[in-house]
Amino acid sequence: MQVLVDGDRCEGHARCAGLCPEVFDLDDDGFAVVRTPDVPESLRSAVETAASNCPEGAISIHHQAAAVGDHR
Amino acid sequence: MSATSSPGSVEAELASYDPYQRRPFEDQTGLLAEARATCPVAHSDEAGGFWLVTRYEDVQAMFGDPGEYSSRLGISIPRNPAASVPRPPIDLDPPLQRDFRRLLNPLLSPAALAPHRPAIHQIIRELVEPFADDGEAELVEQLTSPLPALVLARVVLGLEDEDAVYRLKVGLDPISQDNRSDAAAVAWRNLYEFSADVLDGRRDDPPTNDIVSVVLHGTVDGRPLTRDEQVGTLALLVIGGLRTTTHALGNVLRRVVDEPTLEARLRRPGWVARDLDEFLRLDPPLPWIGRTVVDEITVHGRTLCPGERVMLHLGSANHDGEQFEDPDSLRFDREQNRHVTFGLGAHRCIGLHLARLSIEVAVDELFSRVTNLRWAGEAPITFKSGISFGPAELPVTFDPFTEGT
Repeated sequence: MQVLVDGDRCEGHARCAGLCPEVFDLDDDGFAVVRTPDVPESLRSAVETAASNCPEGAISIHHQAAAVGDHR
Repeated sequence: MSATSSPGSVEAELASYDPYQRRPFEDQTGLLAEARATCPVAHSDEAGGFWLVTRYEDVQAMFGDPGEYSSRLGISIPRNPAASVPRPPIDLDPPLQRDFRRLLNPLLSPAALAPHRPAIHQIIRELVEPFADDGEAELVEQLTSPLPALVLARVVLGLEDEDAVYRLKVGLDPISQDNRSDAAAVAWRNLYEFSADVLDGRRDDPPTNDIVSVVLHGTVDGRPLTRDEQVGTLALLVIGGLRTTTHALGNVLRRVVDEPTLEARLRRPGWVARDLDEFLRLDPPLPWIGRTVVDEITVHGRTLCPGERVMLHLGSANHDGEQFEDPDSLRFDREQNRHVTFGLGAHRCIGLHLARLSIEVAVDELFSRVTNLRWAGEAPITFKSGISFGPAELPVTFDPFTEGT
């Protein structure tokens, strides 16, 4: 799956990095970045928890095919 | 929620809703639930008059619309006449507000704070050690109240005279008690003088990376900060984290004394990443935050006029059953907890990472020395209310904790 953080919505609450540090990191200003865009299925539950706890709703999860479509 | 109240009577009760509630939040949940159900935008005639907004979705939308719901006249209700100098960035709107945040965010990010973790441990050890073997303590006076003052002095401002910050903190009480009093006006002046003194003490030093230096030498909108902006910014950073952190930690500890099984949860590594947010949702130290209407707008049939104050009720939003199942209970199994305790959008609390770190380390150090917190005496605890809300005292007894017990 592909995980995206919408940089326009992220305000740096850092809930994602606390809940799922395997996938989410913070830049020097404290805003969320995805460590690697392709995330193994084994982390799906943790990523979903991070997404559903983001106060700004800035995290989206895409199946590989859909994400490719998004970038066409 | 009592099913017998008619919308009219709820509206009448809300017309006298006082911003400075002295009762614990659980005593207001019924009234606020009725407000959300029957009149989600209600008018209170108290404190100069304001619109009380109680639903999560409305609070969220208003946080996201600073062009319509401005911060330019401050976040207090009523507006404090003595707080004449705006405090960037909280008393600003984008885009200038964003510039201030770009300047300050890097200084209070998790990465910037991580190196200070040992210093915060040290501060809390110094506070806990004197009472750890006594079997009893008053945790507000001995822990939660001095903690943020010492963190501010040692970690944020790098001041030698730590007691000066604690004296300042105690002196700021009138602001929180009643924003309009003469004592509050004196306290505001003291806060601005303190901030100006800290800046003046560093004015001739070469620029460095700490907050005082960045406020002195940084730029916004391509220019240096004005003198008023420097003083206002530092004043905000000083006052913003003092009472709120005291109350946030106090509210957590109060729940733990009330429900002893929670102690085991707070001993789990990493509890702050998930469980702390449920404590913060249930008992937000800042119950509400104010905005000012920019253009006339109709919300749920009510016409809000330019210049009128709006109270975004964070506590009510956090207890909205449309957003949170079983909203009035501590439920650590929530799959979704998008509480608004730190605000949303451009103005989300700039000190939240320092607050979380301070709470995490305080709980860690406290429970490394004591266990089985119990109330000392029978009297119900009282609360300090005002701009922030939390227990006025936490008189407890406890047992010594040693590894393996």
